[in-house]
Amino acid sequence: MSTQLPGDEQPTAQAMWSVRAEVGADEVPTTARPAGYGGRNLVPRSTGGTHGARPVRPATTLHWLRSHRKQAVLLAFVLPAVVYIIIFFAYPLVYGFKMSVEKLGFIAGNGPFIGLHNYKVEISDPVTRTALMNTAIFLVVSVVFQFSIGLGIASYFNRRFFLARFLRSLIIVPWLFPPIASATIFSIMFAGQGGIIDEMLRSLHLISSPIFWFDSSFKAMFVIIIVNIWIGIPFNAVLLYSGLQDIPGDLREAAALDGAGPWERFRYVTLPLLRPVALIVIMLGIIYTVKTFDTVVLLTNGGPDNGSQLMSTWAYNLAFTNFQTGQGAAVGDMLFIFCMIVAFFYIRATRREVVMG
Amino acid sequence: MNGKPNPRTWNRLPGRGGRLARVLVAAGSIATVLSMSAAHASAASGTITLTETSYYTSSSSGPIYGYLTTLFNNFEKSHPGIVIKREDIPNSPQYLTTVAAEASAGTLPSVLMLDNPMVPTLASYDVLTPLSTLGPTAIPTLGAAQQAESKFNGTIYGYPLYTNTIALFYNKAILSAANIQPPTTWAQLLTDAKALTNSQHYGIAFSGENCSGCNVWTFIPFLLSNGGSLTRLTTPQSVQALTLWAELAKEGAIDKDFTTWNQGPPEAAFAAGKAAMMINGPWFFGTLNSVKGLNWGVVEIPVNTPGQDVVGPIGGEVWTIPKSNPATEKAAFELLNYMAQPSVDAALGTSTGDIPTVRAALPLWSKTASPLYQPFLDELKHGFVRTSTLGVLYPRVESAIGNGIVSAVIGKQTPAAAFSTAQSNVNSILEGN
Repeated sequence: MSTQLPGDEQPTAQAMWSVRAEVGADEVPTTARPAGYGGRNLVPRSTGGTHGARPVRPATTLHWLRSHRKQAVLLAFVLPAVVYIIIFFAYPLVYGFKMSVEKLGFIAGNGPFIGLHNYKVEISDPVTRTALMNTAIFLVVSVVFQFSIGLGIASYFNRRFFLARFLRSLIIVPWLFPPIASATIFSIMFAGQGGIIDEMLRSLHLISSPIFWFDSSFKAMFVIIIVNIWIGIPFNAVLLYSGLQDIPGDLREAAALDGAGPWERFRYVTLPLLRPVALIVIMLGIIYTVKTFDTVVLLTNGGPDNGSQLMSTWAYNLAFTNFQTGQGAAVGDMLFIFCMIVAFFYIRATRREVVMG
Repeated sequence: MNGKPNPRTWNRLPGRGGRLARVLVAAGSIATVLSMSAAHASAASGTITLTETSYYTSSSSGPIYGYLTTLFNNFEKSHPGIVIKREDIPNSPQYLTTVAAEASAGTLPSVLMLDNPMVPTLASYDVLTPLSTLGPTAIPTLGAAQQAESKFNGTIYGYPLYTNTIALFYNKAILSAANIQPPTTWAQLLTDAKALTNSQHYGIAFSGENCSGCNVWTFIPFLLSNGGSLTRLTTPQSVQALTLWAELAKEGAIDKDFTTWNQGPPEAAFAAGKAAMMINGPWFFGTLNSVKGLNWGVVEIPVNTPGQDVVGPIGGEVWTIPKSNPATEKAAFELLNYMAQPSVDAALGTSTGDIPTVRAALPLWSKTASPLYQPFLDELKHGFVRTSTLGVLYPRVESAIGNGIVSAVIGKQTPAAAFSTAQSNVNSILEGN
């Protein structure tokens, strides 16, 4: 907003929309704008924005057409996005909800309306509770470790050293693999018979008999979390690295001159400045982790005995293995509500920083 | 997902890779659904176009794909005015997802192949044509047990043209080196499997994952031969069967990763000499024969007490006619009857690696069939159709029992406790919850 007049406030989001609509239409007097266009931020910037300096023209039909044409142009820019969102987000969401309140079996057409029955059944199902708990653990542990290891790697590469650029480009490799490929490789690595992880532990004499990673909920959860962390680290590292690069080195230098040690410099200079990037990285990490499905299906398929079932895999198993499509949809919607709650608290907790950033 | 859980797709996939294929195939299925609607719109005047969907595809299915091409070409020649259009989908859970989507959109193909446990589910939605409305059926020419596969509530909905079950495969070199004969009782099976376990190989391998056509399918011979039941899991007979599996796992005679195995990984382990024995089906004969230096035999699955009959779960696909219009249904019925001719059915058996079900086809088929099919034929004399009593509830009951099996073999619960939990889940399914 470099053209802002002295004393002008930061425009609100709504006002910014209106400002854009005014571009190239400075002959329209501000006073004749339709209601809702008001506000002093709407003054066309290019004219210098002197309020009411121009003569007020009568509100003619032509004027209305013109103003509507502008709205139409505005709409034309927004329309593709709106259509896209309606077709690919709103419709499936509404349809999914419709399915969750119907009695549906193998064929999901129109089932009889049964209210919240599917939700009641699934909330009282111990597997759903396990899945909810597993999803929460999976989410928290994955995001915490992805972020902290990612930050460690980013800080490491923030220094200049021999081969740093080459090694930095290698870090992103796990992110480039399709999750299906990663999960398949990990399932071979974690095999109890001839799996490389077992062989390594054995050759280091850390274990004497093979570990079967998929025969308890705890171990199965451990494996899927490890794999998910591994997949998420590069993404965290690369984004945090670019965030670190944006922090001017002289700030740390100044802090050092003021007597701050390495930890103080990191804690009181680097971290606060990294905050906007860090919050976005964490939010994307949460979104990516909550919707994890393919790696878990490949590694454990929710087993053993539903021990590593997540909300996503449980919804799938209900709908496509047991053919309880209505209940699968209900669990899918519960996952959606779970995400909304997480998002709500997250946005509330970070709103100030995001706006400031 | 089926008695023969998509062997043709899975048998090339090592380890847990079977699941990889299922995920990959999802994307393909969606594309197929989209293309289906276009195909159904075309109704050329004069000729009837039959759309056909099976999970035999050129890339994944071996000889059966090519044989069906020949069969359909021959049929078109002898039936001018009927054209067959193939719309095959690789086998995976997404096969059923696609079928479900087509059924709700009213765009099912004219001829649809289903894994036999799915027939009641589809029939219950009234989307399949009762075959007797189209004329006299070939069902009486089939073996008695196989006739049951085609029925839902006493009505015939399709032709089960070939069948299979599972038996005990053994590696001759490994067993003779240990001077062990193939086991015939559970006690022998447990002792032998333990004795055959060393750093090179496990005693036995079989599917232990809870998925459609995985651990429950493999468990049925143990459960039913001993007098147990899918709906009475807390009886001593049922718990004894589960105890045997739990013992095999506890003693380390089976790779404990087997709870993540469908039917593919046991075959991979057996073919690689990493398992001395395995329980699996004849659809792997072709693959095993191609392994150099592997000398193997097949016997019936061991029983608890000598003299018990081995009950084989009946696998195999059923060819059905989804409802469309009378002319198309009639043409589809002609195709099914053409396929049920003894000579054609014998060839279908040979090319699927299964056993033909038309009685008159058996002598033709057995001329070229391997003698290793004998144990399977014997077990099928007491064959068990999984949906015979459970009908549409089978998939859910299977999943509930599958969880119980996993819980016991990983030692989370005792066999009795695991089946007690499973029983209450099964009860709630049977009560309609």
